[in-house]
Amino acid sequence: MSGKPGTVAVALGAIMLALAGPGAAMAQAVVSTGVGTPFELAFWQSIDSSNDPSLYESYLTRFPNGTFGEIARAKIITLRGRMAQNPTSSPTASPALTVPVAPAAPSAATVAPVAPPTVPAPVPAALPAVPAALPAAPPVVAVAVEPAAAAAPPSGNTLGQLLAALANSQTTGGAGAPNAASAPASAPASAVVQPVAMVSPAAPVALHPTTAGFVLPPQPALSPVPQVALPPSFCSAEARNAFHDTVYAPSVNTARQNNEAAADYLRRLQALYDQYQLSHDPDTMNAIVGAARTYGQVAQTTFAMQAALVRQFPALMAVPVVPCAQPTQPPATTLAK
Amino acid sequence: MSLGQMRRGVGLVAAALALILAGTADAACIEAPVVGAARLHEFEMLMMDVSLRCTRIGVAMQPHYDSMIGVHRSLFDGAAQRLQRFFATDAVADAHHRGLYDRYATMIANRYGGGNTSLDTCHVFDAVAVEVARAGDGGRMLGAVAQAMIAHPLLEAATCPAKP
Repeated sequence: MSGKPGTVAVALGAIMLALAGPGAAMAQAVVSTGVGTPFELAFWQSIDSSNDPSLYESYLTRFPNGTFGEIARAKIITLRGRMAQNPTSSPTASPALTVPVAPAAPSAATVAPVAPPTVPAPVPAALPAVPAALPAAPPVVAVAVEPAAAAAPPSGNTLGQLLAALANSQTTGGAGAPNAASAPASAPASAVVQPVAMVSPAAPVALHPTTAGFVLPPQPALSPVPQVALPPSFCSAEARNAFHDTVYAPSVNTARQNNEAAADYLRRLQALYDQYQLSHDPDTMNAIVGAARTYGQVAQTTFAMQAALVRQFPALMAVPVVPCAQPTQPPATTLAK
Repeated sequence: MSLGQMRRGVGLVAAALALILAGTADAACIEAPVVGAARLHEFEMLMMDVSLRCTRIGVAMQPHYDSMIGVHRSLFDGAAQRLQRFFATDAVADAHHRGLYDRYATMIANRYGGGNTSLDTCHVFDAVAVEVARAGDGGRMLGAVAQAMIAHPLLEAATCPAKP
């Protein structure tokens, strides 16, 4: 290994600083380039290891537009918050090293149907030719990366994990990226109750052998979705609630489960297709595309069924409540005198 | 982060570097040098895409990216050439690999072409480019960062299908 570990560690420290936030990165850059008065730097260095927020307030008083102003303000907020949470804690406690992490993908709304993934494109029969002749093999300089003899993983977020999360944030559909598989434009809400068809149970699973060792994954089993026929009126709000709980909600749940299962199956096919992208196996890829196209019709049906049920909710809420006629009591008969 | 915390952070970085250098298991169907070349090439493409996006939103990291590429040009070019040879090694293989390098390049572009870039991430990527360009260590820093950011190159998943 030809590198200098110390140099690399310090260089990575700069990246670590940048990962801690753009303000901190700016401060580091300012210091390294000598911007700022020596007195300000000396002042800051005298308090930088302290966890007493009043010292940082003093810094801001002295240097309201100082190089480390953002850091000082952030530390004051952090330290004050910590002291408020734990009044008995000593101000000398070391603050935790905070680093940004990629936000988790937002969870889907419970009633929003999951759009079926797109079907992978078929493999063209004739692949395009290599555009240019490949050069003769030159000597390739190897990247000097050697495994460490014994590396104990440090606790918490490591720099490696942070860099991986950073790279992942730049993948299409990765953390923080807009969802590539956005739902198709929903049909305009209609007060008209959509008839909900029944989904037939999945046909027996058929495995389609293509190349040696490859079989398509089995199709998921779908449950029949009961129709929801809205009555012309409810006798009371309680009756509407009961209808919702016993008729409408179970139907929606079944439709949602079917739709999720169908979408998940298509995603599995897509993942399989992606795995075979460069595997020199067009037969398998075409088999996957064929399966996805065939099952895509099922997925569209499950999606439409769930969407129709979701759209039915306003109609359910719009069913009027009309007090039902009380059972008529037979007129009191009087005994004949 | 204060300077004192930064100094403590460097200690953590040293430990993290050891973890980075521990490496990941190479795919069984590809030779390790090819995986390394794929990782480096993918890192280059990632940084290029991010650089373009960051430049568009006002973070001038293009000079730093260009500097990084210039400093390590032999490594990046060597990786790209190794991949081209991987996809076309001889006449027989060429018949099977025809067009695969183009498809591979398209897959990488699709992978990083739609990332969500913000000012914060741009500043971090800019710092990465600066430090990688600054490190005159024969590519050790570059290799460590690339390995951390591209743990599993796309080439692995695309050429080594999972066992059913």
